[in-house]
Amino acid sequence: MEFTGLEQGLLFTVIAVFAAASVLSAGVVSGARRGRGLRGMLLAGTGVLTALLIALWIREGQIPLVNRAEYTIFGAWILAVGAALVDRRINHPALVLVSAPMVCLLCLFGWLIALRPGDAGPDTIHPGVFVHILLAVIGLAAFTFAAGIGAYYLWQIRQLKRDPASALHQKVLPLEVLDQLNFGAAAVGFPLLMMSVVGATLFSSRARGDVRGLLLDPTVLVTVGGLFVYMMLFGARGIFGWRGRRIAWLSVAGFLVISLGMLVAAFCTSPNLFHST
Amino acid sequence: MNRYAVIGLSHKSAPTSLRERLQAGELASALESARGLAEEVVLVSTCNRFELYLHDLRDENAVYDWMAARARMDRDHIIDHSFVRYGRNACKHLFFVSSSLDSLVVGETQIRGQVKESYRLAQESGSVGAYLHRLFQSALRVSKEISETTGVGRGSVSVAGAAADLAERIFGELHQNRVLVLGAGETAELLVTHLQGRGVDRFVILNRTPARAAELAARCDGESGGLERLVAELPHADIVATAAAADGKPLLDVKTMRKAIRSRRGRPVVALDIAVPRAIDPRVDQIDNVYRYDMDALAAVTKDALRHRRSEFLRCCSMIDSASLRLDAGARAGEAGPTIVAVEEAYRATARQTIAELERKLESLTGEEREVMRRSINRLISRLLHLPKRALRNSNEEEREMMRRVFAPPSGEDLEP
Repeated sequence: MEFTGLEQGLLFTVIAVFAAASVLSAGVVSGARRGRGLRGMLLAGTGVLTALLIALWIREGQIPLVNRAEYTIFGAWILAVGAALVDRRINHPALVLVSAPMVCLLCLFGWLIALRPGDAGPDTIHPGVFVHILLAVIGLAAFTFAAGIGAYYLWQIRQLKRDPASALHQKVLPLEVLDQLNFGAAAVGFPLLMMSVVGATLFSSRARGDVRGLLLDPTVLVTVGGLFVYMMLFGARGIFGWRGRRIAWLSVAGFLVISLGMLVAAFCTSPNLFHST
Repeated sequence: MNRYAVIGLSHKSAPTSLRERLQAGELASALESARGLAEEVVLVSTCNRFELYLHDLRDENAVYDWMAARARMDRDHIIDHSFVRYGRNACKHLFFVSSSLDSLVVGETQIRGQVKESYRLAQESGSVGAYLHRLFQSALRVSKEISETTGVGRGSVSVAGAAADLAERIFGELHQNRVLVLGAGETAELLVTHLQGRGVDRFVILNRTPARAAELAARCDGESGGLERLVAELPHADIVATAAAADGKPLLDVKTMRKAIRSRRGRPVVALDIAVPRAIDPRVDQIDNVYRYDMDALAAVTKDALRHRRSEFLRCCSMIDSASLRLDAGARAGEAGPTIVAVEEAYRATARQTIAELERKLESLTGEEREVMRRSINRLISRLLHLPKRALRNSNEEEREMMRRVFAPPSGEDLEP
């Protein structure tokens, strides 16, 4: 896939804005800077990202969810919009600190994938595949957010246990709020990704008459592995009442499993079988 | 600026007993009786200070007499414990006070409101004019700037405050949390008072002597009982504070805490061990979702906050210096106004006289030429006055008087050579 000059300009603007927001939010959270303009940066970056998706939509004549570069950028957009919505309720620099670097990385990742030749995707996609991709992208964006919050939670308990004096200098969200955000985001992501995988399996088995081939697809395998980690998370919370550190670890682990699979699938294998179906 | 003065007593110069005697009675009536001491008066009376801010002070001794009469004490005793500052030092003193840099606990947040309230009272009683208005507005502005841009008020400097801060880092707002206090002594009471200030209203006080626990519980509207209720109460408590010394073995051990956390289904607990010797087994810190802070940890937090506040002090001083210079420049420009008007008027009068003489002598000039001549002379006067006017805006009273004599002599002495 190739970006036009305008699209590339918009993409680099998004990367620059979210990189700047990441640096500024780190300063605000550490107590070294004031947070003026942080929310504006988050909204401006989300606005430019929206403009980029609209530009892609107009050029391609369909919602830009056709190839991996577009899924990634769309995922970044979902993450940015989600962070902006949560920020409207909570209004805390920690949210920008968690989401901005991830949006920045996803956009950069999308640009790198686009440089790979031969991944332009089909001219049109089947509505079933479109729903599968949309659900998966939203689910993965939610897991990304949950993992960011989880990592931040782990860093914060380390601070509060080892060096409470410096923890008080920082502008951080209370642990209980982080725990709720982490669990909430995972709870949003899990059913969406599950529906995406199950729906696509049914769709694919009907089209091919056989699902065995799907089980060998690395993307499917890894996604199912990641979903299993998240199932453990919900089970541990529901049955044993796990909270805090353990839930944060599971959230980070689930995300790492899924993102590692996506990374391998993006660079080392052909598009997954749902798509080729 | 020279006509500003402050006379008063503070925690730095006078004992509490003396300050109490001055503070007795209503502030409004005290202010009313002090109005005759100067053109403008504001009385700032808090638990740590009793200060009169004055403009155009008539007699310093009269202020001491007024204070002595109010405290019903010997005048010399008042003088021994009071301080006086004039001019820019008086202004800077108010800036230090309102920014909480002169407070007993540097960085406390109440003083700004107290200064504002004192100023409001003085305004209502009509004892504030343009000068003290300008001074207090500057003081409130600079204190706001300092609290917003420096870390002078950041962090708690008391053990109870540090404990509450840490609990807030875990739970957020504390008003929904239940606090279990082991002990009913002075330390426990201080902690309870502090937590009440942060919105906590659910307390359970347990003590070896249940009657003492009941006394404290009555004060905070909580429940009370003996220490044997600890195991039953622990799973319901979000914050556990021990302010009772342990007799040989800790009041709260790992096993009890682990059991409580299990019953709580992993909900976090903040364990504050403010007893010496320690009453909570330090190993409870290893349990997931238990955050234990003992006196060493809390003292480190308060020390760090104090160090941070001290490190910000110099920055605040430079901000106060700049503010006092701005006030000085504004005051000088304001005070120079009448002199500038007088000088300009004297020159313009001479210019008008000269123009009239020239018009008489040069009758042949056309109307247009006359207009050019008038404009040129007026422009010349403006240019000649530019530097003296600028000098006047930055001058003190003595310099202003000298310039007035040079540039605008009293009527009778004209400017003609």
